[in-house]
Amino acid sequence: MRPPSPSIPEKEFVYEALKQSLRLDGRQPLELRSPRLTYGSELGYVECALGKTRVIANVDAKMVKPLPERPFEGLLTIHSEISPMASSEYELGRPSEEEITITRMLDKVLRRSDAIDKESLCILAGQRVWHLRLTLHFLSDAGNMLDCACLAGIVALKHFRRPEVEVIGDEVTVHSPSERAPVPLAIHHTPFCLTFAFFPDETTQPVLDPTLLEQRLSAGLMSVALNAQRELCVVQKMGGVPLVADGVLSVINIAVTKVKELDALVEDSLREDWKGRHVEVR
Amino acid sequence: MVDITIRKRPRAEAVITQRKFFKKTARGKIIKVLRERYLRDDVSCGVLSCTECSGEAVLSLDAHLQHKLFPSGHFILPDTNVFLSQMDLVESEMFTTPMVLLQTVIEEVRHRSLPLYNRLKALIKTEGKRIWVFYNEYRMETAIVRGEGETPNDRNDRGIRKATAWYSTHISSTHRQNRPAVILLTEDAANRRKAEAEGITTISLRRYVEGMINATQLLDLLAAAGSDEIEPTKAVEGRQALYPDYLPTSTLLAGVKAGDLHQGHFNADQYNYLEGSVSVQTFSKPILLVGREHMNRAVQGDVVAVEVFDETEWMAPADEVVDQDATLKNDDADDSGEEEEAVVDAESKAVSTSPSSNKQPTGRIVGVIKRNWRAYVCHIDSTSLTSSNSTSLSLQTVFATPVSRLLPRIRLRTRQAPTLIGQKILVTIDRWGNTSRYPEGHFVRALGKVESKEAEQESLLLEFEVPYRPFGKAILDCLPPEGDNWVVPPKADGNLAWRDREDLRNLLICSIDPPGCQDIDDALHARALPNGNIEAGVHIADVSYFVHPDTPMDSEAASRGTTVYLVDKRIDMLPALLGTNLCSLRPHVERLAFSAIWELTPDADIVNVRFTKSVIASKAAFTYEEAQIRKDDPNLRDPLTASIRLLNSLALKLKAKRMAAGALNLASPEVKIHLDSSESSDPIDVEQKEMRETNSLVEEFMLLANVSVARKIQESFPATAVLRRHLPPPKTNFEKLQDILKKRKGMVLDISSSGSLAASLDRCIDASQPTFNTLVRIMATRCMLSAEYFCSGSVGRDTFGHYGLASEIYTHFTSPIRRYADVLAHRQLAAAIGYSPLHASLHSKHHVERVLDVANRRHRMAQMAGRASVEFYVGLALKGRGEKQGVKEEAFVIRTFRNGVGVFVSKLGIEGLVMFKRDTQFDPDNYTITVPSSTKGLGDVMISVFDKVVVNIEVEKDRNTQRGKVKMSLIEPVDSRAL
Amino acid sequence: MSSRIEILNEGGFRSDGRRQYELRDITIDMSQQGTADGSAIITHGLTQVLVSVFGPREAKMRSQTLYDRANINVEVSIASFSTGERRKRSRGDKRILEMAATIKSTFEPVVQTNLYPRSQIDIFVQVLQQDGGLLQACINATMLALASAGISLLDFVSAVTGGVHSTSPMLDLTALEENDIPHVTVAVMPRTGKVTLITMETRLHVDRFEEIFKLACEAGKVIHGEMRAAIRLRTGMLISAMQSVSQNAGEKEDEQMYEY
Repeated sequence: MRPPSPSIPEKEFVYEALKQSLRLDGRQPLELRSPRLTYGSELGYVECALGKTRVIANVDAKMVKPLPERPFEGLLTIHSEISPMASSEYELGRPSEEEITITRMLDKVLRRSDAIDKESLCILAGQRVWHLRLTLHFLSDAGNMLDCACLAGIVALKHFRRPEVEVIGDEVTVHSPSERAPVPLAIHHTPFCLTFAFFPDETTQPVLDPTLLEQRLSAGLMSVALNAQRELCVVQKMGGVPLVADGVLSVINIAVTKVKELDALVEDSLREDWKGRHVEVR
Repeated sequence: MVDITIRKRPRAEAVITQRKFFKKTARGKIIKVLRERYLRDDVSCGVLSCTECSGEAVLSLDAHLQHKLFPSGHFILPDTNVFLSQMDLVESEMFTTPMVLLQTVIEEVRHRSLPLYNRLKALIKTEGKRIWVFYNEYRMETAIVRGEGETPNDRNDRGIRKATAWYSTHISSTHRQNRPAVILLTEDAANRRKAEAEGITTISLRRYVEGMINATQLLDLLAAAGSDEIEPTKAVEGRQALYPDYLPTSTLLAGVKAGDLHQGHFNADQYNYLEGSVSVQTFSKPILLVGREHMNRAVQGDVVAVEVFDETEWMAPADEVVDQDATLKNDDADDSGEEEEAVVDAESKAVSTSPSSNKQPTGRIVGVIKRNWRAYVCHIDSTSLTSSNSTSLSLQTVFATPVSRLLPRIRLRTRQAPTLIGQKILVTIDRWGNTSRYPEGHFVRALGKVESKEAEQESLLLEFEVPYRPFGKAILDCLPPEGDNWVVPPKADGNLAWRDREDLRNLLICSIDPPGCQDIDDALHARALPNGNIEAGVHIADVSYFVHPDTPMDSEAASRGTTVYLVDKRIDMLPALLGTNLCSLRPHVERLAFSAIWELTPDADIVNVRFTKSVIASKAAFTYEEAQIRKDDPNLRDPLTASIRLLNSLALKLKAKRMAAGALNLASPEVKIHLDSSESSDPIDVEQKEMRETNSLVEEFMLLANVSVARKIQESFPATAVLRRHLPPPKTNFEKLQDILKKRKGMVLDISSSGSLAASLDRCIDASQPTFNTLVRIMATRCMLSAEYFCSGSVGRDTFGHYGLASEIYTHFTSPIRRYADVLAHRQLAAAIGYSPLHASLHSKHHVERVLDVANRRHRMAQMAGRASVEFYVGLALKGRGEKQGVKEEAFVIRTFRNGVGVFVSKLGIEGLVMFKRDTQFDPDNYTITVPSSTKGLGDVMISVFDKVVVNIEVEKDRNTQRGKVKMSLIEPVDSRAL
Repeated sequence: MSSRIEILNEGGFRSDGRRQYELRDITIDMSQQGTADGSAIITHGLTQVLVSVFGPREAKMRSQTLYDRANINVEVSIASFSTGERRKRSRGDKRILEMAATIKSTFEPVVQTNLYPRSQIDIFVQVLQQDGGLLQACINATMLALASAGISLLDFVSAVTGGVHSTSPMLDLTALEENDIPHVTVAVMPRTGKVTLITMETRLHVDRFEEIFKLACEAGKVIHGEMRAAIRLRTGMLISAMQSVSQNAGEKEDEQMYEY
């Protein structure tokens, strides 16, 4: 069952407001809803909220036999079915186009970007590797679930620690996290995803982090995933309104500055949380 | 904007432009691969003044008219085998003929050996060489397709011939006069025959070089293999086994039981990677394993089964330094199945030992009983990389060279090779199949940039298996909840902390430690008794009050075994809260202690001893220096100083008694690193450790306490007492040192007992060399066995003795904060005095043995880690001192090899190796080598063991592995850089 | 194995003999395929894609009809023999679904859907052979098939991949190159010079991206030229064929021309 599309007066009101660089929630066009990160008692459990969009990410690790063609690499799988809890738009078992996009983007941003060093998840080549499972629960959809999920996912991976293992010969000893402090994952870089919405009217400025209404009324989205070291990981603009080349580049440059702020914010929040935890003793 | 074009390809060309082949994936699936290529007519020939080809050109027409055979000028076009076997010649500065290098040749070299390929690439860029790379596979006229049934090698040969023929016609069509000849240079006779049949000028490299003007010098560089009859390069045909298979485990165990096979730990030789040894009980000397095949894939530390050869085949260890990196520099990380002749050659040369007198049992490994592989600190060998492009994401096979010289190179498959260059990384060995020359491993993680302090420190800890990770949460829960605010509870009835404790808070107790010591284990006191005797007390931190058996903290401490001291870091055995605060006997606070109190006569004879748990309040914490100054200052008359003097007088007597009993005074090279400040930790200087009287004071009382406690716990728990012993060294260990001393200095070392050894060591004095005695002591120390913990019920009563201390019984009791064995001794002593019952685990011989095994290993590792840390800082200090030219220091020769000498630099406490490029006259029986003098006209110079020399010490980075190496070269008596 | 092949050698040649800015051979076949209203086969080197377009026609599923414009339906299938390793991809494979969604949203703003209300345009993409640049081939083939079906379009769309080896940009990558270096696919509308699609899935520095992005936009125009020529040729043939039908048969000269 599709939700009713915005009424014509509502649509025109939003367009008109955006034309004057006004957004319904009072933000600037290129302003992010400030993310709120709440950590659970377990390591690797994070709830991320962008306005009313909320996603929970949880990481767990277990030992498995590696894939035969990649005996030296651990595994990272991302589970992200959007349940009808988030919004009545979603149905169980029947992925919508949007859901496919989100799943694929999560895969590209968190897994294919090589953010996590998979080689260091190898314990005994061909025998035992760590399998990390990142599960994302979409609690509510108030627009831009993708950015929220990517943020929750990467923060959960940074927050997570796996038990320490010791290998001598072919004997593997797993140390209980309470006896030996667990080890953080080797993370190459920290990508964040930022989504911009474009509108049919060419003179209207694109907006960052669209709300549900803005997303519905937009004529195209462009998602950019990158890290604070100015490295792009994913650029995705699938059709929608055509843009001039310089427009694309200016959007990317905006993303570069925004990501630096986001990175600092995440690092602060992780540090703050770490202070309150007693995981290790010197 | 650049010119973007579409490369059109006529349909008719499909046969030559598409290539189909099958390949096997890692999973074993066969897949078909289809590739296309675009053939073009704009691939430049590189000949200057060519009318058809545009672009840059390097091959000039008028050049090289001097060659006898080709007076009208020529270019050469070498075949692949020229580079595979004669790279040194081609690299020579005198070899300047303009050369056409075919793409086919480059690719074949790349396929055969990456290091050679990298040399070839460097060669192309070398100034003065006129080399033109011709991409024949992309040129319309010269591209060829592999025919039905044609081997890749034949295809390449045909391609090379075709390109040569094309060059000839191309040059003759574009140049009317003085056309240079194009000559195919190949070592493959078959290829030459075919070429001649096709009318191509061809010649072997030897014949070509003979015709050159500087033939005589160049012929020297021609490798021996460059004869006419070299095998044509052949493709890899299946993988052949390089090592014999292991026997099945059941056969191994039966063999060991029956005595046909011998079981032991494999030890690699640090000077010669082609030799190893296994110490077994049957033979007094370790079993020697010579050559890769006999070492049969054993890695340092593995438990192996060895078969010993017939006595006629026994050999002596090689007297040569064989460096793995140098010998195998052209080896390739991929394609191990192919045994390259050069490597085999070099290796067989390296293992052929001269018949020498000191033969050893020799054998081969027939099986591995237990692998002890772990994660090793390595560097990536940059020459083994296929692509150093940092954006490359493909899987590469590279070599990881372990930091430890005892380990073989590890073949590593990784996707991040380019980013790992210049980093220290951790690599685990996964397997070593018998078709692979090297073990295979996987990347664990990166430690950081080479030479950054963090990476070096961490790699050191990993290398010596020091558990350095922070303690877990469960251990936090074992600590007193008050944390830093914990104090000894007030003395009141029924307070558990005070149960059966003596109140010694009023005693004048002080501690003496090295400067900056935070974990104070021990404190002392002494006072005169009314009866003329002296009461002396040693008070040890009561760690067992906080660390209870069978708790997470206890098991963690047991597995850590000891605190590890590095130059700039301490890795605690117990959490810092206990080690540096609650247990540490800091001054002016009340602390729990375990005290040993003696009544001694003024002659330091023990009247009686008692042990008690106590509460003390130390009055002062001195450094050795402060205590010494205080003791020596005649103006000080306070009771504390008096107590130090009293202790000192007793210590002197105790020491004299010990020496009389035959204790050894050994020496080990100990140096001290001065750090600039605690933050920067840049070393500014290295100096030898100074020993003061007060050092000895503390030492004597600790020995006394340890011996007394050892007696007590052995009495109470004869089956499970935790003791420490030092076995007398086997006589054979000293043979070599005795021989050297006798031959070089005419001195005799009497090793019949520890007392006679001590006495004869005292006589080893060379008036002209004051440090000679220390040197001999250092060398003698190396002949000894190391002391070890043991469980009293596990060995015979007659082997309890401590050889070095000349004591019949000994244990460790005095440092429970930093040694786990001491914690056990504390628990046993507490039970022995009836303070608390003994925990069940300490009644179990098996349990005690197991814990002590770990403690022994950790202790050994901690010592090595500490030494390595000092070495690293010595290296840094050296670097700081002599930026470019290095540092000159006096050194002593301690070992001689055929191609070098081992030296010891006493001032820096480091050992090094001086290598000579050329062989010298080596006399293994007299431990001398004779080298030609560096100044012309003077005769040869003889260098022998114990000679004082001057060496230049540099810290040099290995170009490939980024491994920092101390490089030494002789300055006096000869300059070895010329050798 | 593949690591033994140099992506770009010192002589400036790529592994298949092309230089940095040279695109692979393009062949376009726009002849009729079965009952499709328009179809095209495009090959970029060894990558070959067939697209058939049906419609505008009545939607099969009533619920999908839109009152004011046409609905575009894209289905992609990849032949199991298209790669060296035979692998059956299920139709529910997320990557295939994503590709279909990408093609759909690329053409939605280009097709003048408002001219065909309450109808559906079906685009069936069949990948026959793969050697890199899959999305690029799919988009270009779809473009040609839509044109041959005579569907009204606002502008042309042409796509191309670009990559960066170390610091050297290169265009139209093969599978071998795609596996080794970061790459971007860009679809441009040559008339306005605007960009309708960008996808990049590998790590790349912003400055490098800018460089390759601009280059790919230029390359799109080159491909556009090739595609336009093919359409013109095809249209020319059709027109003259129609003329020849209306005239009496027997003018041999003309016939020869059509056979080309």
